[in-house]
Amino acid sequence: MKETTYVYGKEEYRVTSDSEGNIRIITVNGKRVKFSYRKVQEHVFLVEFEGRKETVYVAGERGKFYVWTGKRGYILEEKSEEYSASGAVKKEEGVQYVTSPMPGKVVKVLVRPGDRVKEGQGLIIVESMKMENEFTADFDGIVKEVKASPGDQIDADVPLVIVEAESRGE
Amino acid sequence: MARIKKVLVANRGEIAVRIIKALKELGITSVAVYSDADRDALHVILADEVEYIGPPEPLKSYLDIEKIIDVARKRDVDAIHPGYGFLAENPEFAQAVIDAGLIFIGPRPETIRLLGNKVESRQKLVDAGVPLIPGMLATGLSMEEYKKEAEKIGYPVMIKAAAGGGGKGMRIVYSPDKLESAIQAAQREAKSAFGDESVYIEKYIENPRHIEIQILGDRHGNYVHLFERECSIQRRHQKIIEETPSTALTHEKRMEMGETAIRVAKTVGYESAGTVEFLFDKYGNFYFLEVNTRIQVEHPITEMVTCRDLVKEQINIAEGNPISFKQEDLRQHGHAIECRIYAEDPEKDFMPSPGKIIFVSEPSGPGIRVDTGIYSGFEVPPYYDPILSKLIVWGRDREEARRRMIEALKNYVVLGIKTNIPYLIDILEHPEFVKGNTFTTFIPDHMQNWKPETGVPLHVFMAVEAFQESSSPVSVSQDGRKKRISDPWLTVGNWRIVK
Repeated sequence: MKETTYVYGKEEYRVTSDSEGNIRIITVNGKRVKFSYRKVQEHVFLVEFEGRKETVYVAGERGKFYVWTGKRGYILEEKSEEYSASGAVKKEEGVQYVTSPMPGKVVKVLVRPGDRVKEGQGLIIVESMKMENEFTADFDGIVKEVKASPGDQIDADVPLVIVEAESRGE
Repeated sequence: MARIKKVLVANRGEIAVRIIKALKELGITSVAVYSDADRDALHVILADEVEYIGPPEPLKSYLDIEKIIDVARKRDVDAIHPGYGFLAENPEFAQAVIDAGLIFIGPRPETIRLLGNKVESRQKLVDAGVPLIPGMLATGLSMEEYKKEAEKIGYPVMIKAAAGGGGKGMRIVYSPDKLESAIQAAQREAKSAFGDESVYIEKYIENPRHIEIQILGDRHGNYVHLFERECSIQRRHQKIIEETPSTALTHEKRMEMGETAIRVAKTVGYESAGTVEFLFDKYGNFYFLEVNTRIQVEHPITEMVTCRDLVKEQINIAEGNPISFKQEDLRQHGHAIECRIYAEDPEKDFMPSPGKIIFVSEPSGPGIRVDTGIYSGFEVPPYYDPILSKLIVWGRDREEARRRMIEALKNYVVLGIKTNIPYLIDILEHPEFVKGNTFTTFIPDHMQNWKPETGVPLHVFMAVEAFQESSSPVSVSQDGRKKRISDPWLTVGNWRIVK
């Protein structure tokens, strides 16, 4: 039996999977369903359950799964100790690792180490695809570290600014 | 008449691919240019010859006129096609191409310059009898003068801040008795928003639609129009869905707009393909906005209903030939819709979503066309416009085209990055879109609080589990125990059938 917790946005799903012969059994947040599947092509799966047939497209890399159901897309992340849902905030309570979900160029750093910041305050601006995106503080706190400077080309999901919650360690 | 045998495509992405394909069909050699970010791009893969032009930043590559002219000389091309965006509407570039003894596939530089200058072209077009949005750019008038002006324009009128933008300092006034207080309010708002209280009055357009006319002109004085495209579905002034014919036009109105567009083309001696944009109100009045002096993103829908190839026609005209057909040869057959597929996340305020595309599967079938710049494994660079591709469908009527588009979007699989596809499906399924009530306010009116369905369906988890199981080189046998797969095809390596 395999047990995984998947994170989708702010939602968490506890999933266990098992098999009885050719029949798979999946339990999602306590709901148990039998299913079978066929992989018809790389990334393309036919899933059958409760008399239904669904075609689902899946790709994945490093605990992150991209899914298309023929109407909606889902990005699921396997919950690990290190990163939580958005990838931006480490699981560690009260510490925000500000990352950009996409690669780009740092246009402006709005804070310096030691600065006190308010929830929602802008921390850093990253330009991507001719658009400027501002990343903000999740809570009141103190800037612990700034790891990027204006002009830097940055990758996705790399910490740029680290903020510690005000109350932490007091 | 100069026969074009080799063309440099000064662009990237789906439009560069589109142009290269037309060149191949015409037996013309294509030369692509690319930046560091586009080494593996589709236009580079497809072109006959390629030339590196520098770092990813557009200013140092795709916008560098000197570099592009140098490549054109080095590769000994006859002509340059600029596509759309980048240098397409830069008169200095068009002039530099001509000065280098080459053909610019587009309008003459002086036409681009004139139509780019809104003030100068406005007067010329008014003199030619082209309808413009009634209004006065004059500011700082007395209340009496404003009142006279509003009477002249006719209510309802719009008061706009001269320094304006974003709806600040804007007021709609339906009757004369409300004018004075509205002007004062607009002035106060403009003052606090822009530090400048200047306001002017313009005709307020009710239920506006964006309707544009495709035109062609050649150097022999021939002009045709290829009917309209309605592009009212816009998000922050960015078109996302276009269709033709427009649900708002009668045959008479269509011909009237087409003739007006040709009048604009004649007034400036327009050569090549262009688009005359109008705002269309609920009373059937239309007002000139501007001319786009390039091939447009949404040109394929016109191609679908008229059975003409606009890029090939541009090349034909650039060679000095007359347009290859007459106005009376043209008909609109059926209905076409285009959706722009963008790398952006509609769930996170349309934040750009560049990155590696792990898997793409494009829809296909009767009446479906995909103009694309991507493929499985392509890394979408963060430096350029987020447009990935365009999905275009044709149907015998609007409803067939709409349903075909929805099905095609559902079968357009892009894994690895986010796209606006779910958002597009919801627009096409919206009852107001079904009815053809497509005004430029559609997105703010109907899609402002758009949220995808919440919750993840069970089969998503089933497929993710299946994916993990099947992608590890271990399978589960009948008795539930895991064992290694011993399929020889998985270990054989590269192979081919020799006989």
